[in-house]
Amino acid sequence: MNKKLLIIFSFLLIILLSLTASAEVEIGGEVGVDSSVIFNNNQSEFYLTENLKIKLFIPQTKSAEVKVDFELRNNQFGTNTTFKKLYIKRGYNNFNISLGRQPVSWSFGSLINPVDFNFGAEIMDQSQSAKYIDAAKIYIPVNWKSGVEIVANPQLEIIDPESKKLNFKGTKTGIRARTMINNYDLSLNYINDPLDINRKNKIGLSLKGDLGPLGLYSAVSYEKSTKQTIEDENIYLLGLDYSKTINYDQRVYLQGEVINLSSIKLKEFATTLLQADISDNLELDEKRYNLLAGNISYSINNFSSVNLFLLGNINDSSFALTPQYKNQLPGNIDLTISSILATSKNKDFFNQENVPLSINFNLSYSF
Amino acid sequence: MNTNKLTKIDFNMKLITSFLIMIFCLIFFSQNMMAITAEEIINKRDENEYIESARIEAKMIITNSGREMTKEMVSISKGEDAFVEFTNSRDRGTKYLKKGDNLWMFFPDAEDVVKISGHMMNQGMMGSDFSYQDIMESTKMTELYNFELIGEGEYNNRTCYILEATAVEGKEVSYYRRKIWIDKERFIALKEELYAQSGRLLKVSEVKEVDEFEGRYYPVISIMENKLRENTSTEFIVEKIEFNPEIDESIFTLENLQ
Repeated sequence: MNKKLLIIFSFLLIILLSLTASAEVEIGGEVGVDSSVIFNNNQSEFYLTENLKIKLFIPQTKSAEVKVDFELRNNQFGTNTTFKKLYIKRGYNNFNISLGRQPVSWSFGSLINPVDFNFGAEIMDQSQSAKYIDAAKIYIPVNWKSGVEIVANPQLEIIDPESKKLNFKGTKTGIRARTMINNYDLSLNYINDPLDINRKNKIGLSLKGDLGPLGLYSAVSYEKSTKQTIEDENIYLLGLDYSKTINYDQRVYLQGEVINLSSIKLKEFATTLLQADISDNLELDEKRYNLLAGNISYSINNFSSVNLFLLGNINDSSFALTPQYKNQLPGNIDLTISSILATSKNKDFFNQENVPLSINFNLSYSF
Repeated sequence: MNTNKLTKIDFNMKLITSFLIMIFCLIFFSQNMMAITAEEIINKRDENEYIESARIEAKMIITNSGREMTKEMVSISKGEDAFVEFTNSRDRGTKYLKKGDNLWMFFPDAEDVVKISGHMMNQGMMGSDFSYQDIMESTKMTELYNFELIGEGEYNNRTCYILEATAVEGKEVSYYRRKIWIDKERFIALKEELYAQSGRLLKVSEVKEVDEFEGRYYPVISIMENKLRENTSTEFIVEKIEFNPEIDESIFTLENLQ
């Protein structure tokens, strides 16, 4: 977020805080240490990151609230501050509006969301940086279960890195209509992205409900091409989830989904997921691909659990697995141990070059 | 013996017999008239414990082998609708909305509202021994179970009716059978043994403290002990309760969840 906007919002915050000076502002958040070992090309690299997440709980006025959430990360590459939330929300009789840095994601419970405002904003239950954007958002409730959300996200480009001069390139807009019919949660989304020169307009539909003892969800996305030489894009998703109590006491949760998408969208997804353009490392000869995403979670007791996340390319049978162990230690400290393993050495999608073996330890304390 | 004397003795005998029969009848019928049925006991219990609408501030302390985890929440319920918001530091801002048979969850970091699948209703809420169904259930016990009065007993120096409850066929319940100790004077369930269909004892719920609210008794401290694991329990403490407050319908909306 640029400095001017930050200063403006800081002033607004100070004004609001001074108006509610008698009220109590609470601070909460999390302190954590993250250490990773990455094994790549017979070499190991060690990373250590300290992070501090701060949330300000500012008392709401009758019709307005302010959200402030930021994160400081410090590692061998330097210190980075990211505002995840810095927005003001005001309620009116028939709608509410929020302005500033805020999370925008049109989640419906899937592990990968092809109909999101920003594709890849949330992957495998982890929020990505694409989720937190500078936007104006209006929510119009229709009834208790239905509403329309309109998002306007100005797209700015740094044209001079030294002076940080920005160029306004256009506004990405989106509309999401959501309701429930016959106990199925339904949403219809439309996005217009002026920066996407190939496919400016995108429509998506999502559904979530129960099918007997199973949870069922599905999504379809269609992107219309603006050029005759470029094809339209479709993404299809189908998922199921299920939970069971074993031996009266132990709980298992299973979730799995299949996503059918083109090689172009697969590259886009991979770049977002791996935060790197790996196009040269991929042999994507087929037109369409099937990705499999899954999660198995087992509760050992009230304080600890094991999870296994899986993300794979069915076409070339390559998979990345993330086993994870979580434990809440005495003193309100969380321990998470995880690893990422790719199954293939070849130029498959999830190969060990794209997804090197890594082991990660995280300790965090919530306050 | 002369005839008059015999007649007198005979009359006295008849009088005594009639008197004894009358006393016997009085005792027999009065006992029957005063005998209370299982349904009446449960209905009286529901008058105390069944909530039409309420605002509750509560705490759950989850204990496992010496380790403790505390969840604090505010719950607003009206009929079949319930809204729960967690206020402890770890889960602050996490909210649930139950409307009829549907459950939604709000994830505060991502600001996502997600509909929760129906099969999750029987799973532990936020890692506790209370399921979503236990915390947010609004149906009366008499609609879910068939009750039988099996005796009387004592629990914590209080005389109790002991009832056995078996799930009504076709009804989805967390526990197939329950054995319940209901305080004879206050009509509060002081202890419940919760069984699986196989007969295995799963949990025991015990009330540690009862308070009176405008003539109505309500358990304010109760402990649910997991009998399948040693030293595992969840204590549920009601810190503040307001019965039948004025509740705006806008509380039970997806907009309020965000």
